[in-house]
Amino acid sequence: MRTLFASTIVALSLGLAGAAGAAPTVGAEAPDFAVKDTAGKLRTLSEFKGKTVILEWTNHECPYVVKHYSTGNMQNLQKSLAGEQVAWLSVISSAPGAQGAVSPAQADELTRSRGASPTAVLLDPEGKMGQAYGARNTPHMYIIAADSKLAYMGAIDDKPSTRRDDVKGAKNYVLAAMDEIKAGKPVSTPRTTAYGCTVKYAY
Amino acid sequence: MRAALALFCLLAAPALADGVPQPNMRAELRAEADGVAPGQAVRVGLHLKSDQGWHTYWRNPGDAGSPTEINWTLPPGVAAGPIEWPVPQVIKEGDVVIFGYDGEVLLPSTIRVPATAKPGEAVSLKATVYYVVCREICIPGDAELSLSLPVTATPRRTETWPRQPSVQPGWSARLVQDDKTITLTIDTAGEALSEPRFLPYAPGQVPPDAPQAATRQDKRLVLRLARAPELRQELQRLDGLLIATHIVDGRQEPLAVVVEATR
Repeated sequence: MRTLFASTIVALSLGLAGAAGAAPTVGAEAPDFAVKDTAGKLRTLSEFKGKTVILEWTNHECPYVVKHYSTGNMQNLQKSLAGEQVAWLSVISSAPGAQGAVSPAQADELTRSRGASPTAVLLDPEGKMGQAYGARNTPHMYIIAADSKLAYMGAIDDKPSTRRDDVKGAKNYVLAAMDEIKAGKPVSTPRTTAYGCTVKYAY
Repeated sequence: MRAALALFCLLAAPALADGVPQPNMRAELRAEADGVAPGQAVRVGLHLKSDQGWHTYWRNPGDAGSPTEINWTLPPGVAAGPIEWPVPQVIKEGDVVIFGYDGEVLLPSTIRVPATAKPGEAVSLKATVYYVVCREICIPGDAELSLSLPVTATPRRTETWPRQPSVQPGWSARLVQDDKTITLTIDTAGEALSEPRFLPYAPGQVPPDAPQAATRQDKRLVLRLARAPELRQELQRLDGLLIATHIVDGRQEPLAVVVEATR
C-alpha cells in the first residue's frame, strides 16, 4: 500500500512557547493570582468569590489605551459596571523601566487624573499574573463570572484602531457580555481577538 | 520639456514625549509613472519610511498593532482600488508575532482615470492615511497627502518606484477543520517548498504565533494550522498568503502565493 504522506517538508516551529503562550480557557476556572495593589495590599481572585471580576490590562502610554481613556470610554465602562457585585481590577504588567511601568503613587495619580474608578489597580511587574492569563495586549479584557469561571476574554470592542472617533459606534464586547451575565444568559461572544500594544513584559 | 512630477511629502510628527524614541516617519505618495494616459490606470503608492527597527502593519497585523489605511479623495470619474499589499515580514517581538514591514514600505493602489481626462492637465489625488508604527512601543500617525498626476499620452515609468517582492496569484486549496485545527491541502503543482507558512488575511482565524506543520501529499502541500480559539463558526473559506522559499537556478528564493481555500 502506498504511503499517503510521502515526505515531511518541515515542521515549522518558531519556538515561541513563552510568557504569553498559555492562555486560560473560557468556561474553565480562572487562574488565581496574588498581586499587590497600589496600597501594597495583596489581592487574590479568591477574595472576590461570589462576585463578577473584570480584569483590564493597561499601560497608560499605549495609544490604544489612550484612545479609551481620552474619550472617557474606559471610565464610563468602569462607572457603569463596577459596584457591589462587580469588581474592576486594572492590571499593569509592564516590566520595571518599560513603557507603562509606574510606581503605586503614580498609578493612583493616573486613576485620579483620568477620573477612573477601578476597584483596585494591581501592579504585576514580574508579569506573573499577565502570563497566567495569557494577556497579550493593552487593553486586554477578561470577565470572571461569580462562579470563578472565565466568561470572556479578548478585545474591549470591535474597532482595532487607536482612533478616538472609532469609540462611538463600536460594539463593546465587555458591555455586551456583562449584559448577558446580568440577565443570567450565556455569553454569546466569549472570546474575541484582542488588539492593541503588546504587554511590556520583562523578557 | 516634461513637467516634473510633483511629490508632496510631509513629516508626520507625533507629539514628542521626553526620552521616548521616535520613529522619524516620513509619508508620501509616489506614482509608478510620470503621468497617466486618458482612460488608463496607474499605480500610486503610499511610501512609508521610518528608522530601521520601526515597523508598520500588514492587512492582518498579527498579535498587535493595526493595518495602515488609505482613504482617497479623488476628482469625479477617478477611482482608486484597494491597497495591493506587498509581502509582509513575519516579525517576532518578544513573545508575539506580528506581520508588517520594517523600516520602509510602498503600499500601492491602482488609480484609474476617465477617458475624458485631457493631456496637459493634471489629476489631483488626495489621501488621508492612518498608520501605527511600532518598535517595542507604538505611535499612531496620520497624514493628509496629495499628488498631482499629469495626464499624458505617453506615461513613462519612474525610477523612484521600488521593486518589492511580488505576490503571485492563486493556488487553490481545500480546507478541512475541526475544533482545534484547520488543515489546508494546497495544490502547489509539485513545487518543492521549504519553510512554508500561511498568513491569513484576517485576524482571529489562525493564531499568528502557532507552529504550522507541513507535509507533502503527492503534488500537494498539507498545512496543519492551529484554529484560533476565538473562531467559533465554521469557516466557509480561508484566504491568505503562503510564504516559503523554493529553489530557483540552484538558489533559495522567497516565494509568496495567494491561497484561496474553500471547503
